[in-house]
Amino acid sequence: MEFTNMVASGTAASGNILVIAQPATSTTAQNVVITFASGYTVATGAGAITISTSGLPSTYNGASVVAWPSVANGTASGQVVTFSTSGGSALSTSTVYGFWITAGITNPSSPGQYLNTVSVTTGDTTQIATYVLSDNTITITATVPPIFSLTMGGNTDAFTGNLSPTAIVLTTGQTATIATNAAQGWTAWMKSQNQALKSATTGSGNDIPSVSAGSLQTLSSGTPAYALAVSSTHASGTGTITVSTAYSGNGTTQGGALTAGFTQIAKSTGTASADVVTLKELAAISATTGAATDYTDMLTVIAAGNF
Amino acid sequence: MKKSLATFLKLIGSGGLLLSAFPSSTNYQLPQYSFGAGGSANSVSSHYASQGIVGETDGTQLNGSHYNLGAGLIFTEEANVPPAPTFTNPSSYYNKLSYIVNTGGNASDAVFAIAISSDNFATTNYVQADGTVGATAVYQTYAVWGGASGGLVIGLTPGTTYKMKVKAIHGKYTASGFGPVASAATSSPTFTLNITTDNQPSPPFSISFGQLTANTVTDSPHKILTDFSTNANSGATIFVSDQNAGLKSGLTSHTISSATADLGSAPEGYGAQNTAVSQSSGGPATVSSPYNGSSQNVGILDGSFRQLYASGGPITGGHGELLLKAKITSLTPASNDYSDVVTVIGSGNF
Repeated sequence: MEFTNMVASGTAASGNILVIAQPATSTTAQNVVITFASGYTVATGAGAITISTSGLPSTYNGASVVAWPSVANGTASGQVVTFSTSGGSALSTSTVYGFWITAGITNPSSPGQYLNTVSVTTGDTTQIATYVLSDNTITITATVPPIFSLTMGGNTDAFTGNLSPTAIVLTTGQTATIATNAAQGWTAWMKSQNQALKSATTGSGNDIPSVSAGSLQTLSSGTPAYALAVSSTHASGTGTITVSTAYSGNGTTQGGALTAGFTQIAKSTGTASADVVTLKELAAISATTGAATDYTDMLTVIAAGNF
Repeated sequence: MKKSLATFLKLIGSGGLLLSAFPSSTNYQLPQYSFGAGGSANSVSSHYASQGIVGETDGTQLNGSHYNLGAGLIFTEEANVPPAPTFTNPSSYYNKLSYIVNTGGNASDAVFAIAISSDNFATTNYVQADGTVGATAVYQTYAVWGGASGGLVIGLTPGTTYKMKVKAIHGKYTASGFGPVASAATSSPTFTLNITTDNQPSPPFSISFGQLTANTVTDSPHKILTDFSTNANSGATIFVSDQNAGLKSGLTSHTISSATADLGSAPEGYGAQNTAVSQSSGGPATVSSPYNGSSQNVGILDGSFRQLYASGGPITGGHGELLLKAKITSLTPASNDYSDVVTVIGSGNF
């Protein structure tokens, strides 16, 4: 017999009792008689010990289990419970039979070993030792902390070619990857050190200035200007990314201002396994823009989870 | 009376014929007898044999409190009375006992019957050829009864003292009496189970993972220890289940679900892995799949009681150690109330 609840209890114990047996002698259907050890509380009344043959394990100890034919709810006389199998088919010695006792038996209040007897009315009988514990459960706990990470793909972002008065040139682009379990998502900001591409060689008179702040700007070839274009991808999570309007242009001739203070460039509404924000800078020069190889700016990117 | 009757029967088989009135007493009549045949002769039919002896004195056993002395040729021809058998319970058997027949110097072709009783031979049964107990005496040679290794008498009642005695036959006419009695007792069925953790010898039991780290498999800091013993012929089986099929957060309604998986590659998960199994004797104790994995492979925990350990036979000091593992992703909702309840049960397979 397998008790799904092995805990000592003075009150009705929940859990089923699996009764498994293989007859020693082939016989026609015989009542199953279980004598519970002193200590077990056995419900009184006809059919008070309820049974079920549903949900039996397919195997027990490697042997296939078959529902006990025609087994019915049991009736107790003291500790002795008789389960009628009247009308059931004959039992085979090569078959393992089983049924669940679903109610009517309460575990003893004291932990320890108890001897019970299972028999059929032909006299095929066996004693079974069961064990009652004070506790057989273990409570498991864990904490999942707030998670947020920002990983930059690199620290440099060069223009793909020489700046030209006849074309708008872009940088290769640099990524910021964000992961977070913040249910309210994340926000990313950027600020610019120079608000322009500046050359120490040519001096401030040849700065390539940032476009105006506040809205998306379109650069024109031949007119010096410097802007930031932002794009994004979402891998998985509940969030939806929105790039700030001022930076969400066509990505080739449009961009937003490089500001002295932190300006929001993108945000997400939920969790992210690996949201990628890509920053590309655009620049246009005139024919009179001073020649130098040291035009530079430094952007600072930050982000935070919205917990 | 008994010996006198035997003597009359032997006379009947001696051959010859005397034509005269038959000698008779109140209870017996001698229908055929002869004198002068000399010596002894055997008369054999398909089912019976009789040995004729003339001139034999009426042998009456001389019985003492510890020894019986049988006089005459018959007793001389009888098989040696076997000594008490070796009758033991070597392994706390609850429904069988071990025996070894003692030949008592009988020839190798002597056959023995083994009597057994649980009521001091108020009722006498016999060990059958298949080891069961039956009403009919079964005679087998010492070798067939298992020789020096003996055998097992099975189908006995737990917690009962049995007595055993043996008698021998060698050829015809030579059954011995029963030898001295040996006794042994079957044990009662036993099954014990104890659950602890490696840092808590008594309940309530708890294991805290602490703070989990995204994309990292975290081992529970403590293990669930299971100790079990049984004398059940088919050993014991231990099962495990859990309440939430994972680590469940009530605050976030998220469950770090349990599955049989390699947490090294699975993005998120929770399960159990056995790390040690042993026994003091018997068994052996074995770990059942899927809890027998290594590295980051774990077995599922859910509401079904799944086989965790088993022993194919009686076992003493069965011991298993179960480790829990968990893994989260950066998407796993943050909360400090992830929890589960693991339950371990077991039974002896009698």
